[in-house]
Amino acid sequence: MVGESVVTGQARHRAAGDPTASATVISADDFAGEAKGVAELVSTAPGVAVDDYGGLGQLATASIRGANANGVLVLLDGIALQTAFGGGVDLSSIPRGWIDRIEVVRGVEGAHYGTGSLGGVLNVVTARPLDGRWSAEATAGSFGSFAGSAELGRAIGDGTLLLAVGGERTDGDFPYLWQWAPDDPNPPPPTEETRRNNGAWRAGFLAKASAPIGNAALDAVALLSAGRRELPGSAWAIATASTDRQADGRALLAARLAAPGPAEGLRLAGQVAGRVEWLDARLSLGPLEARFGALSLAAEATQEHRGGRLRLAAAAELDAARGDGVSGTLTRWRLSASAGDDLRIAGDRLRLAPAVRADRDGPFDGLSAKLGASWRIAGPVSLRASAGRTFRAPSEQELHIPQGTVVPNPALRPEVGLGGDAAVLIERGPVLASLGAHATVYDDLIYYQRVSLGRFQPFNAAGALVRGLEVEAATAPLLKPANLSLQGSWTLLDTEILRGVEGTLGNELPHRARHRLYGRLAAAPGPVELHAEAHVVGAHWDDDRNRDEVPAATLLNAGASVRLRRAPSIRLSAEVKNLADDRTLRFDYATPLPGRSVWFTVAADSQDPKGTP
Amino acid sequence: MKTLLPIALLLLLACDRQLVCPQGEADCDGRCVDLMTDPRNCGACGAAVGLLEVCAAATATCAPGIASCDATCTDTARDPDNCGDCGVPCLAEQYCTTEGGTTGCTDACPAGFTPCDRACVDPLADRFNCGACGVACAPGQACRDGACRADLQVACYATTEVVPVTADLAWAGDSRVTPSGPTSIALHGGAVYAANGYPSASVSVLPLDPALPSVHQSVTGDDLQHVAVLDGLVLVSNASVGSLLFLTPAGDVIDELAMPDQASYPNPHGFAFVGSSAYVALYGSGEGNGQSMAKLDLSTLAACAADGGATSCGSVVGELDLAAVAGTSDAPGLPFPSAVVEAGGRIYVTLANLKEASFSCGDACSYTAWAEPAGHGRLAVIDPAAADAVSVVDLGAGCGNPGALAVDGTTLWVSCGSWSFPATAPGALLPVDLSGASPAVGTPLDVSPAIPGRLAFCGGVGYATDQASGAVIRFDPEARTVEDPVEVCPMGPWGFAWASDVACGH
Repeated sequence: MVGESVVTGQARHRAAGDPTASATVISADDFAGEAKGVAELVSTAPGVAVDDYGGLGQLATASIRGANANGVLVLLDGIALQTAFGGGVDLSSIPRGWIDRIEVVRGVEGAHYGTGSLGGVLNVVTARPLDGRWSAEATAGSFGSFAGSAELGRAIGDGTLLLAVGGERTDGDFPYLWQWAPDDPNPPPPTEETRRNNGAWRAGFLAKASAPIGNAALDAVALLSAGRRELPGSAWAIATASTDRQADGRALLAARLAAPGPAEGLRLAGQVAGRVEWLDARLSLGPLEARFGALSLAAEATQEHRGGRLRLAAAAELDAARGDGVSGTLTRWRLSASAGDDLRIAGDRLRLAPAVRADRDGPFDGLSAKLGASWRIAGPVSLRASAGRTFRAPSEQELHIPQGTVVPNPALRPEVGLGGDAAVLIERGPVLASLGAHATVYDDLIYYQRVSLGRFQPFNAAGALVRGLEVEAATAPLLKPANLSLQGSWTLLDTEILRGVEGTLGNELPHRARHRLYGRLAAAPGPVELHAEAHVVGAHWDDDRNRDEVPAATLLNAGASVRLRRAPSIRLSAEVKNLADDRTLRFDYATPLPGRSVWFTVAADSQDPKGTP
Repeated sequence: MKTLLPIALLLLLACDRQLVCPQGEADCDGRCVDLMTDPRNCGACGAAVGLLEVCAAATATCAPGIASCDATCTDTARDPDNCGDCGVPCLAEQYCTTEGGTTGCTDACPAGFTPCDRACVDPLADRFNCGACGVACAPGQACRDGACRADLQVACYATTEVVPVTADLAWAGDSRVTPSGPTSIALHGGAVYAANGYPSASVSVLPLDPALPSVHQSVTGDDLQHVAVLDGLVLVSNASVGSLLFLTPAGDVIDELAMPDQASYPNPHGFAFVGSSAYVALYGSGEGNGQSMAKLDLSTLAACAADGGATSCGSVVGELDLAAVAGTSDAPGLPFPSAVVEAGGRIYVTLANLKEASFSCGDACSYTAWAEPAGHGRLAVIDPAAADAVSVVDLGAGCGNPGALAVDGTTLWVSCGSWSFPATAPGALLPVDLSGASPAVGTPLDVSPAIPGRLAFCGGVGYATDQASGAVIRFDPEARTVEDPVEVCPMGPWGFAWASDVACGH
């Protein structure tokens, strides 16, 4: 809902698509004025690791519970953004101005969300249309970065319409320290270099409408986004700066009609969605162009019954892809049928949510299943647990499309995930905390391997066991008038390679830190809001041989905002990211990440998103 | 709670591990072995062959030179009960002695021989009593100076190992596994030093003594091009970083020297030494970088080795721009210097002379790379005695895309051929006579369809790796004849094999 205040209470841990799942709901309003994109927001949740390939508009993908980006399903208003070309969804391709909240769902979720969700799901939910609500925001920050967005909600007839536009750009020329003799035990002092050819821009338009049609409800969304980014290449080739670049675009149109059915408690819904994506990369190796389209139809029936709510659904999607390396047009049908129930037992104290889903994804068939349960034990204590199995079908790119020096492998099998989790939730007054444990076995994971001096090819080469603990706590504002609020999460992730070549068995998965800690302290005395954040990312490996270690790093952020006007709200915010200028983190040895940056935002809103008195 | 139980079990679960082995190999107790040839796992895991046996075609058979007496493998050169032949026993107080090719029973051991279990043996050369009684060398190894040694060491990139082989390229002991694909090896002081590349660079110290553990030193990057040993230090060119690493024999990095124009990705490849100088080929990646030779002053190398790097190991004192030297390439090609060797006080550098080419990767899919021969391969000759004057030798139509080189006597041998353009640059080994006032290019030896890579001369025999397979090619540098390639490096788990380097084993 537009203007919705902070997500508190059990709603903070409940995903709409699977109420018994281990989930964290992140409200964008909690971070208003802080210039944070999807990747930065989801990194506050336990179980999530973001692979940042350069910051500032560059590629960013997410890992949940150790799964690689391919095994994390990314949805925009419930519509999957993965394409038949495969690859993890680039989180920086979603304009941050659209975000209302993000549901981070952890676990093997194929039965509820579809194939591809081995580690979990990120569902980015855009704002709901609300009559009279409007907002506008402008941001300026380090490295020649600027952003602006505006949205307006209006009643039209019996319905409401939301229009939103947004754009951002950056020069991306951030400084970084470079060690020219990285292995010298007595190295010369590092020199400060500047990242070149690292600019990016992105713009988007969003329209959402909801309207009653008789006793039915129509919801529709249309979005357009496009962006361009320069690709800086290896940081070692400083004097021969890359001229590589890529542009991308996305158009999505979806409509959903829901109406009561002929029987009592029956509700029927149908959805049609169309999506077009486009990528044009100009690389020194040669150009690469790809176009992708998808058209889907889905139908759903939910029947309230005495013990709960039964849900039956079926969907069909046709994907089409054209591009370099593709002969003609590649098509793939995706068909699915699913059934699930949300059983409420013993006066709602116990909830059981069994679900099963059958998928045909191109030439691959598979079953996903999950049993989830939540049990309100006593007082503030409740328990949640689930176990499930799902799969990810190899993409057309992995199977059939050569790209430069990468050759496809038509013999690939689906990746499989099998896992479970359990958590204790405690909600007492304004405090909500959870402690959970999970374990998942991933098998037949697809890894790219060198198959000759100049070529790489994907193989079902790996399997891994991932287990760990996830702790999360948050409070509603405490101690008036200071209005203190605390938020934190801790992730312990123990990964082990179960299948691989000599020298990798028993090792930890690369880029998966054993510990991650996020903490945030905020205070809102009157019109002023202050906050401080700490992200601690534990040491992790750059490689599956566990030889190149990236040391632990601590990133500190701090910011303040002041409300200049109450109604409509006008707020001025300042944010310093990576306050201590920690330069430890990098994606690999040749990809530095930005150090300290400063951001200023002025925002006007018909309501105050910080919700302070 | 019923749901929690399986989860709790899963949390405590110790799942089975599954090793992915190269094609044709099996997982035996966590190691990938070839059941066809591995003497400890002959035909099946754990099925070890006897001391006098070898594993051939997954079957234990008597080793070469070992007789079968009553269906038992017998060493008639040493066995006092079958001395010289089956059923010929020595008296109880006699020894079975083999000297000068003749075996017989003797009352005492001749000078230089040691009695071992009623056999007289030379512990400096006896394969079954090498260095001491009862110390047997692995099948295929020779005993030299009292230590078991394979004749050759071969780097196998796809299976990330260094494999010992005999002079005939037969199995000669267990391989040593490296963390990633070895691209260059050098043998020195009882160890093989391996420079390993993708996906994560490292330098391995692989002792020839199987009882000693390997040491792997991680270094930055994913592309190490050359390793050599000088004055007790191991030098490695790091192409990713654009530097030269200096390591102790134990594998500790003590210094790192940036190459000229490090920021432009100079891509250092091969290097060689003359006196206290070193010359490093800077291959670059195209226009605007590399295409030159870095000259280093290594006069402080000994001091650097002695004080563990407190003294700088070397410094860059010059750069020779090869692209500016007439004749080093044919427009629009560039020189691309790669391998370097010293002979007679001069430095010889192969110049690939390549131009940019477009490669198809499917319908409407292409990419470009500097890989197509722009003309004949070239050889740059640098004369340090003449102020580093550079002269250029045209290697002729029989040598496109020259790469590795090695010296045998007064003959310089060059590996020629292009993996991507075998029609215009077929595989060949080119002799260049250095005995005259100027190099004289000889007639190339055709080794196609192989594309020769690294070279070594061991015991008068030439060895060339094949860039397109796991084979090694033996050739006679005197008779100028080439034998059929022998597969040494197995197919890796991902369907390719590459013998990336070869070095003499002693």
